[in-house]
Amino acid sequence: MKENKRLAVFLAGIIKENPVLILVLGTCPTLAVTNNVISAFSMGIAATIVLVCSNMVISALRKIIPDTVRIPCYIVIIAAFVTAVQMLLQAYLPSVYDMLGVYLALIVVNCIILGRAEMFARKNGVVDSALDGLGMGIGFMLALLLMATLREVFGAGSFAGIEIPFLVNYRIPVLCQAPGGFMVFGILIAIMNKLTEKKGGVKRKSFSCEGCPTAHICNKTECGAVKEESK
Amino acid sequence: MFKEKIMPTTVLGAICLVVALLLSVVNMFTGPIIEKAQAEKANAALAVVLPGGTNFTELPVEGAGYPESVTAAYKADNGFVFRMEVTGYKPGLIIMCGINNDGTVAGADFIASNETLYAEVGLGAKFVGYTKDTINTDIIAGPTAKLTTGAYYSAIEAALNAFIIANGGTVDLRDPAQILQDNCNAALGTEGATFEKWFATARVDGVDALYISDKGAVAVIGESFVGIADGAVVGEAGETEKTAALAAYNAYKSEKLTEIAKPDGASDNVLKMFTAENGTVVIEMRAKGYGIMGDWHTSGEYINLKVAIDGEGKIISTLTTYQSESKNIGDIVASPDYYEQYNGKTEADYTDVAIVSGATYSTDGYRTAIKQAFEAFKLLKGGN
Repeated sequence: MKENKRLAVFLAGIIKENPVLILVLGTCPTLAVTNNVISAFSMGIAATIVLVCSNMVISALRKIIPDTVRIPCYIVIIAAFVTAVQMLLQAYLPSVYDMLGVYLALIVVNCIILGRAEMFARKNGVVDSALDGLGMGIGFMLALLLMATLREVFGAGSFAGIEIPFLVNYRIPVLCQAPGGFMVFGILIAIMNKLTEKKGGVKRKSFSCEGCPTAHICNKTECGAVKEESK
Repeated sequence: MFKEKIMPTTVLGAICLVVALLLSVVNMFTGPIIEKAQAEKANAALAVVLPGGTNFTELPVEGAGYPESVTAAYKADNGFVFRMEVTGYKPGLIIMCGINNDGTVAGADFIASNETLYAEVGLGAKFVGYTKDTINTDIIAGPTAKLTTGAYYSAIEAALNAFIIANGGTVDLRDPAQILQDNCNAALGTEGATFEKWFATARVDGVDALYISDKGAVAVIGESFVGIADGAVVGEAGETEKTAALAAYNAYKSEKLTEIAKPDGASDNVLKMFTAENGTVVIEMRAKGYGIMGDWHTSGEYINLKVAIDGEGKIISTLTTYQSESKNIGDIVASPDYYEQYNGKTEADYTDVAIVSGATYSTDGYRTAIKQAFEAFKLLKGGN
């Protein structure tokens, strides 16, 4: 029973609560690094490592970290892992480090990582948090890979830098540019909505009011509840 | 109090400490690898101009006594690499030059440029193999983009000078004009006197130029500087040199110019004319340069010059007396290296002095003024 629950936690991030295509989180790196498959894969791996490690540490320290300073503590922990990943990439995979550029450092403020720390790791055990981080990381990476594949194959006529002979002359270069990124992103979200339509559409995550700066004004326990009432 | 203030501060502080400790451990392992990789990357860039270069180390430039244009210096096992910043047609021409330990140029290339004619592309390869002693302006000979190629040449020359200095040698880096002033002072045994070149109106065989100051005069004869004070030669000099120097000095002293009316039909650009007793005609001219080409970017000012033509119709002296042409472009007409090319020319061969690409309007206007000076000279002498 417990194993099924853990499997559900792991799988949630991959499709049901995919951070990019369902929760629409981490949009900035998604649009920035998906113009080629290699950088998308590298970003996915780096973000997954940071997600798993930070989730585990935050979960392990959840009873020690006081509520009032939890966000600064999460940021410091996440920044530590990002910096370590940065150093390791710069030392052992400098080409990947150069390719990801500033977006590698920006993992620190990736809302998927901070979001999982706030919504999951601080309320669950270390193993569950690790599985959640792994699932979310893989979900993030798969979404990046899907987008990058579409953009690189049809935009540059190549896959992972390897030219696809019959597509080279039929490229749509705009797909490798920012507008193309937005178009592909929008189309993928639309497809995801369509696919989940039969199951009642995309179920938006209900966020806790805890930590919301305007919670004392609306005086509700859940953001969803506020929406219901305002209809 | 403890729960609200001390506890949160302590926890956050402790997390920061642990994080800093762990990151320093990671840095301990990755730091040297990163440093090595970065050095290799930098070396690869430097090795482009110094093939086979290894173990590059940056040398301090400040206080090293290198030419002013040298902005960085690197030493490798097999030579040096210097980075120079010079001004060609526009500022910001940055050139890297590698020099082998034997003093030959190993390679050169530009890394930044605002030039417009692309003359700098591939120019570095032409300098390969040259040394401080063999480098010459024939390398950059050509009718176009002289400003760019001249700046490139000066950068390579600076690198060769820096190489000598880096190896403990000495190079005279003074401005050529300053060297001339210093040499004149030395010849005359004075200090701080200011010398001006005599606008010669008489040809004196053997004397290249006569420089005048309030302390006396100095005649330049080949490599020698002969000082003359109170009508006598100062210091050591050969008899031939003494005679030639005194002849030049006497010509200067006896010079008497009389202003005459310009002949009918002379160009409006002829401003004044003078004659000397020896038949030389001095003509003050104005030339249309870039400043009055009549377009929207006009400065409205002519180039002023004067020309001395001897009785045989040969130019003895040329001098630009005023110009407000574009800085580093048209102002080439103020350079003795440019206008002294007309010395010795006649109406038949003055067009041998080339129009300078990039300063076309200024130098073409200058050449036209020389042509008009010859015309005025001919009219004065009764020709047509």
